[in-house]
Amino acid sequence: FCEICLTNNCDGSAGKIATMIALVSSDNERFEVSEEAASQSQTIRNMIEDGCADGGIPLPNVTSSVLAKVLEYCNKHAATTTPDAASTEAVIGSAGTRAVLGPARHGPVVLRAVPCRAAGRRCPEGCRLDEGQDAGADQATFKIENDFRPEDVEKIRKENAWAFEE
Amino acid sequence: MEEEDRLSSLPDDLLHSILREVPLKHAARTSALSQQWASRWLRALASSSVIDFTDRDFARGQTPARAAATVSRCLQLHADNGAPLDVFRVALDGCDGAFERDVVGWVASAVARGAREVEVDLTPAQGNRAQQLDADQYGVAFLELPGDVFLTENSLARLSLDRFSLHAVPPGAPGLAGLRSLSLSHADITDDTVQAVLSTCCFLELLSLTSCHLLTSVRIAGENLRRLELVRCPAVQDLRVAAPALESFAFHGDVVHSYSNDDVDDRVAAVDLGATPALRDAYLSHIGFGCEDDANDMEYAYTDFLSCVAHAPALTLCSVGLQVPYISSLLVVATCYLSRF
Repeated sequence: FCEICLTNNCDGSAGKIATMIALVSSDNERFEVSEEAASQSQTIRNMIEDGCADGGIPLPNVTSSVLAKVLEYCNKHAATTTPDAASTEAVIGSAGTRAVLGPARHGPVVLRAVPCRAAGRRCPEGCRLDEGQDAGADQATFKIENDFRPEDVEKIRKENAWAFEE
Repeated sequence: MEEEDRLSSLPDDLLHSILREVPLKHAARTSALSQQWASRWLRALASSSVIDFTDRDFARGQTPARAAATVSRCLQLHADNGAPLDVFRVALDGCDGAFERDVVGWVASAVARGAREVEVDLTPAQGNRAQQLDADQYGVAFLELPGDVFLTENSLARLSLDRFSLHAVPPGAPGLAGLRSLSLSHADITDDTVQAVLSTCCFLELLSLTSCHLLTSVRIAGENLRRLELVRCPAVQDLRVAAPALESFAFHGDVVHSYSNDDVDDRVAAVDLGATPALRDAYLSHIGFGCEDDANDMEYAYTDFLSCVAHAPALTLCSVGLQVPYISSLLVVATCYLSRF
């Protein structure tokens, strides 16, 4: 039941006109952001669509300094993304309890804050780093430039050999 | 689509918090991504107030010397950051003379920097329990902890040390007085020292003594003691406890006999746990101890213990050939394991 359009089959469009959403960091700082910017986070978007965003969305695992950076990024990219841009480039986010890496919903790279516990939901996306992909795959996925000389990579792998064993 | 490395350009504290959330092994793998990432995982650990190197892959997958070098590096980075240190935990697969001083230095440094919790475990993880029991008797290499580590008052609330000798540490040391939890394993602690430590640590809630070979006649007194474990201390012959707040009790060791003169009425209980109205669970095991051929011993195996813990709602007994002739009504809401190990 949607309390904005007062129907049971809300398509989420009714409450969307120029809405500002408040995100509340762990140290109780409120950040007002446009709904469009906030919706770049799949989880926040879900909460908005379910009408749970009234009164602000608490993000108890994100400090204000981190949240400010995330929002700066989201605000910058909200305007430049096209809704249907399919993208397989990686998405990075952190909310203290989980690192969320998965396909982007909007645009090339989107930051997601995932307040898992706050929303009482399970994280929909898996944690990429967790799967222990080898460096090559991570480098390709995240477009990290491998500036190691071959002998240096060997040295690092030897130093941390325990981590590269299966 | 832009070919830009957006991940690496995220703020450090964000990347650090991501790296701290994944298993240590996977965080360490990012060291091969690029030069910028080579030490990022370690710096992530060093930027937290919790330094935890108890990951078993970390200990097992490399020599203890290498592991110790990494821990030292991390601690150095941490000290350079000037960040507060709250918790320090390390597990290594053994310790030889080469980096003994470093390990002792870690403990001293962590305590001095205000850590609330310090845990250092130097026993190799053993898969086979029988092997472990053998190891307990041999190769008990002690690192000596110097007396001045606990000289002054500190923030230490939980201390867990395995294979450290504490004989240079005065039991009445002010640095021990605030302890809430003390776990000693493979320590050369004596009966007298136990008593003395307990009178110093009046806030102690958990006491765990494992493989302490010098303990024979153990006296435990603690107003706040909630949990007591006496595990594989092979020479313990009698145990007296005065812990009115005790909630959990575990004993794994040799059959503790009552001794008596010929006059049966003169039996002296070898185990006295005193009044423990709050006791919730008790665990008793003598597996691996005593002589199984002597069936008579088994008959008395837990008599004294059982009368002390019979009121606990959860009682776990591990035994071979246990007989319980002297117990009439006993509420046992747990499983009885009757098996050979």
